Amino acid sequence: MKPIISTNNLTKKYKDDIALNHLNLEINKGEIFGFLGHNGAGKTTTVSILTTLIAPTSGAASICGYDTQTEGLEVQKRIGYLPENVKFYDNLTVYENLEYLAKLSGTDNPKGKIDEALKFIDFTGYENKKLGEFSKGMRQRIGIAQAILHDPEVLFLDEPTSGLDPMGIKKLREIIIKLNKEKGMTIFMNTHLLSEVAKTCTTIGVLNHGNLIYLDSLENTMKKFKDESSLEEIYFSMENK
Amino acid sequence: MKNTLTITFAEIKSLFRERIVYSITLVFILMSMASSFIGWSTFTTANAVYKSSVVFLQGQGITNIASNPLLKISTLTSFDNLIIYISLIGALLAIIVGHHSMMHERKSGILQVLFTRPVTKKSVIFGKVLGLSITIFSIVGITALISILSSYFLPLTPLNFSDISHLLVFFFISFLYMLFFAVIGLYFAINAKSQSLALFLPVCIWVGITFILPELGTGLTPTALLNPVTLLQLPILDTFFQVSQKLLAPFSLAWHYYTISGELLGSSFTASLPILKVLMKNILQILTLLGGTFIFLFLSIKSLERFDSKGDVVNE
Amino acid sequence: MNQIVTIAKKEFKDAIRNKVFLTFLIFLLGLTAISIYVGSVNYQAKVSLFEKTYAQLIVNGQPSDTLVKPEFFPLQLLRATIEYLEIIGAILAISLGYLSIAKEKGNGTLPLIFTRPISRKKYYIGKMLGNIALIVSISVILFLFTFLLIRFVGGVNLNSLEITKILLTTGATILYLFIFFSLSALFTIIVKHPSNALIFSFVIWLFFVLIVPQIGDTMDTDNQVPGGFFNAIHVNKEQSNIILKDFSTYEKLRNGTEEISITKHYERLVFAFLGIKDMYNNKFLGFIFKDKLQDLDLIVIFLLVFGITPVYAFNRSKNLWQQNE
Repeated sequence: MKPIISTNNLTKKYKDDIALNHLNLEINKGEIFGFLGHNGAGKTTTVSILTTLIAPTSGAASICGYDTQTEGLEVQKRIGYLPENVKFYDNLTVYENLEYLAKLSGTDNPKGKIDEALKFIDFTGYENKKLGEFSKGMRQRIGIAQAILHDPEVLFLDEPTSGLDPMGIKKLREIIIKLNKEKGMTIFMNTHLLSEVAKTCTTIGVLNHGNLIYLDSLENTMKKFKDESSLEEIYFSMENK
Repeated sequence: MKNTLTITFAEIKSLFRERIVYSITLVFILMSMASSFIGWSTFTTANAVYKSSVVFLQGQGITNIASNPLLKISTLTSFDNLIIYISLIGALLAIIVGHHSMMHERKSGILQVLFTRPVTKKSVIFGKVLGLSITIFSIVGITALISILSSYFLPLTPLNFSDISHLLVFFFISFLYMLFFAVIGLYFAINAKSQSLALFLPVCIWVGITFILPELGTGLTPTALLNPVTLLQLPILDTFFQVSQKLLAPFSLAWHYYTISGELLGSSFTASLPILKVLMKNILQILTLLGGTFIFLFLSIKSLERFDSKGDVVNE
Repeated sequence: MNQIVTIAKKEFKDAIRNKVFLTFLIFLLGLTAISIYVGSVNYQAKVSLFEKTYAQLIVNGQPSDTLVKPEFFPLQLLRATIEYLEIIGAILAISLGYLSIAKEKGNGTLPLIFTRPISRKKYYIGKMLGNIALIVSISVILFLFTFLLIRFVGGVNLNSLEITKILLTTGATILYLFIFFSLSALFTIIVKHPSNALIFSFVIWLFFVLIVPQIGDTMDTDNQVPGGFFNAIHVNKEQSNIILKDFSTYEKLRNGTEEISITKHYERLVFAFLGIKDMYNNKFLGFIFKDKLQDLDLIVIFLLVFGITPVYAFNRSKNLWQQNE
């Protein structure tokens, strides 16, 4: 089976800083990939390149077989993205926000898709409220809704749980797993929370100063390290290398 | 007291490191330099035009030619443009300075940290306002120095001691006028919900004070209000404007500033009045200006005392 | 095309729900009413002064034919409204341009939008069209309001030429406001911190809307005396032109200063339409257009330069969101 996300010596430099150093990654369809790393490790840079936002300095990446640079439009049709800290348009209602983004994503039947997405994230009955009135956790769920309106094959989430309370985190985790199980979406999730990865992901990658230092399935990782606390230990020992 | 001074010095330092603040300061100083030149060249040309007109009219055989309407009684008339520049650039600069002094701290959350230290909110405000005053005082001081010096490089009537003291009083009044706008900038930086509102609202108040109130009090349109000749030489007012001017007096700060400055510097038609006479005559106007500053200062202290989660400023 | 319409619609909706925008609009409408009222008070004052002087002359048995009764031209009442549009209208347009970009920067929505299958250029054009629709609505509301004030409060019936002139003024106003919208949008796109872009726009506004025309105006010899320098020495317009020929360098300098201000071109054009400048009063459109072609040309040049630059800036700017971690 061809991997749905693949990168080939992906490198990004900002002046003299190397944000990403020859990243080679292959992620198969149906996986939930947890991308771990400390702040500034290069996770957002990776997602930005994969989502066509920025161009790599060298190397290439492809989503569903389409090159992110030369076939950006094809890639964009197949991905959903929830950036970190996105607040959407306060003055517009939930429905208007979603309608706007659905139309920009090229959705044929925005109304139906919005209802479906809202039902999926368990958020019906608030469509006509302005977005400014919602808490961070609620907004993050709307963020997921906008990302799945056009039935993408791959969903990118950048630190989706940051700033959420435990209830919000739990709800979001349920949604992510449900998306993967019911819709078969491949999910690429940046996080620095180890516990999150253990509870949601199927594959784990660890990025340290732009270098990929670990890549394996959760199953193998668990086998290797027996329990979660040692996963934490191995994470720190890898990072300190 | 020590706390206040610490805040004052931090304030001055941070203001002068703000690129936007010193670029506008530069614009302001350059414009003041230009203003003496503009005043001088306009007057010289107009005089020459009068002479040519006399020759022209004589050539047409006209004998009863009107005398030169440009009397220029006061030697300080060439500085009249400064009144306009201070009420335009000076006031906007002051708003921005006041805005910056609080907005940065609100946005970064330093304010909350500051409030957990053993400092009273009063001393925070006093420290800030003292810092603002010193900053604006220096800017006005530099402007004063430059415009007095530049008058020596232009072939104008040399300034005597009385002229220079008139100018200095004028610059001090200008300092007070700018300080009022700085405090307004500060007040809205504490209270406005978003950063853009914190800038738009003071700018609106400024437009109101500079154009709308004087128009309601005199019938002069904005363009006329920007020309020292029409501004300082009002025709006799209609009853409507006599009444409206009285009613609007507590708010028409720009108009008071124009009146005081016009009397100090003189216009093309009126001599400048003695300093003491101007101050005595306009004592109420000066008090109104100071009163406005104190009201916004007081309101700023009050809103800081009620300050809770205002650190959460909307970034737009 | 559909996408552009979607963006434009959203932009429009978003702005009319914004407090900053609404405050300005109401402010501007209030000012219009006030300045038309003040204009009519001023006119009445002139008339009563005329009547008093006239009566005095008759009583004294002096010739009264040198006095000219001040004539009433309703469109001239719009003078202060136009001057406020130059000043506050420009601020309103600046606020639109600023908010349109700064909101997206603050929301963090841009990285999201740019992963959608839509080009950046298209996205900006959509936003621009939304704001143009807004500017058109503002201008139409404003001049409709003035028309209604003159018609129903002032009780003056405007003829079709006058109405056409108001329509042309509305058109010129739309172009003028659009230039300021684009200018502040451009700054907000290229400057990293939106608030600095706003301050920068204000400084440009101050300079080109107030200071440059002010310099040109105060340097005008005729403005050195209230009521006109040449009037005071009994020299008429043609004679003054002959006299001023000797001062052409000075006049060129003065005029050149005014020429760099877009506001001055707008003012010259509109004052000609409305007959606020006496020589154009009650003139036909052909004459006005012929004479003001240069101002119109310059407005169009400004329009093209500032209309197109932001599209490219938006496409290339690296300051639209935080790009490195």
